[in-house]
Amino acid sequence: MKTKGLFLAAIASAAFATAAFAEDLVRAQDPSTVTAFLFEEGIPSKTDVDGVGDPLVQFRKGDQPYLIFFYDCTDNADCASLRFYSGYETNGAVDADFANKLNNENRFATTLIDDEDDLVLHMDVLTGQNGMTYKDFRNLMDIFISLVEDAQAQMD
Amino acid sequence: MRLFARMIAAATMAVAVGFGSGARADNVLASDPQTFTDFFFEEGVPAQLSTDAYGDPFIEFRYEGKTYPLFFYDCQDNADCLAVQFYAGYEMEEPFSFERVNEWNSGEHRFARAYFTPDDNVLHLEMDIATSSDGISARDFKDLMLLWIDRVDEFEEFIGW
Repeated sequence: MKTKGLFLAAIASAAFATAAFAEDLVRAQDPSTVTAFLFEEGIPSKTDVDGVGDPLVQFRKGDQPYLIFFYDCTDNADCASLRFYSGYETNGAVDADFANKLNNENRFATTLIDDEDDLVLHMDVLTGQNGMTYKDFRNLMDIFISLVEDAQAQMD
Repeated sequence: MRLFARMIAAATMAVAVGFGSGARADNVLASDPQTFTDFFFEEGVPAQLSTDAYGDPFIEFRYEGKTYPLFFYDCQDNADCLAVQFYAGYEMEEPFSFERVNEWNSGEHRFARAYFTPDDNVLHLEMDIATSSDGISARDFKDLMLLWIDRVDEFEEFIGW
C-alpha cells in the first residue's frame, strides 16, 4: 500500500512538473513572472513602480534588499529587459579605484560609486522574446547575489 | 545498414528536439560554438571560429569594417561553455582616471562594463552574456550584438579614441 501510494505520488508529481514546465519562464514583459519565480524560491518580494512609472520588484535575501528594475518598456509595460540592483551607503569608505578593481575581477555585473558616494552593483538581463527558464534565471540571480556578497566582504 | 543507422539517429534527434522544449532550433548556445557561427552566417557577418590562449572556443567577427572578438567562458575542459563575452581593449598613451571610468559605468550604457588596468594602461570594455543551458534566441542575440556595437561607438567617443 505504501509502495503504491508512493508510486502514485511520483506519477502525480511528474505530471505536475511537466505541466508546470511550459509556464515556468521569467519574462520582463510580465513582472508577475518575476515575483512568481521569487515566491517559488522562497524569497520575499513585492511589486512597486519606479520613478518613471515602470515596474519595480523588491526582494530580500537575508538582511540585504535587492531591486529589479524593468527596462525597454512601452508605456510602462511590455518591458524587454531587467536589471538587478543593489546599493550600499559607504560614507566615502570606498572610491572609484575600488569599483574599478571589482569591474576588472567580475563578469556580468557593473560596480560604480554613485553621486551620493554609495557603492552600487547592477546586472542587466535580457529575458528575451521567449522568456528565461527558472533554472537559467536562478543561475544569473545567484551570480549577482554572490558578487554583491563578495563586494560587501571586501568592504568590511 | 549505414543508412538505416543514420535514420535511427535522425529519428532520435527528432524526438530529442520534440522533448527539449527549452532549446530551440535557432538558439545560440555557448556550449555549441557552431550555433554562433551559424548565427553570424545567417546575418551576413563574416566570422571565424578558433581557440583562445586557454584552449576555449573563440570567435572573431567583422562588422562594418571592424573586427570584434567573442570569448567563451565557464567552459569545462575547453567545451560545454555557458557564457560568452563581447570584448574591446584600448591601449592608452596616458593613464585613464578611475573617476572617468566610474563616470562611464554610471551612465546610460546598459549591459556594458568598463575598467582600466594601470599596469599596462589598457582600457577594457566588456559585455557578458550567459546563454546558460537553454540558450537565447537568434533575435535576442542580434539585439545584444547591435547593442554592443553601439556601446563600442559610445565608449570610443567617450575616451576620445
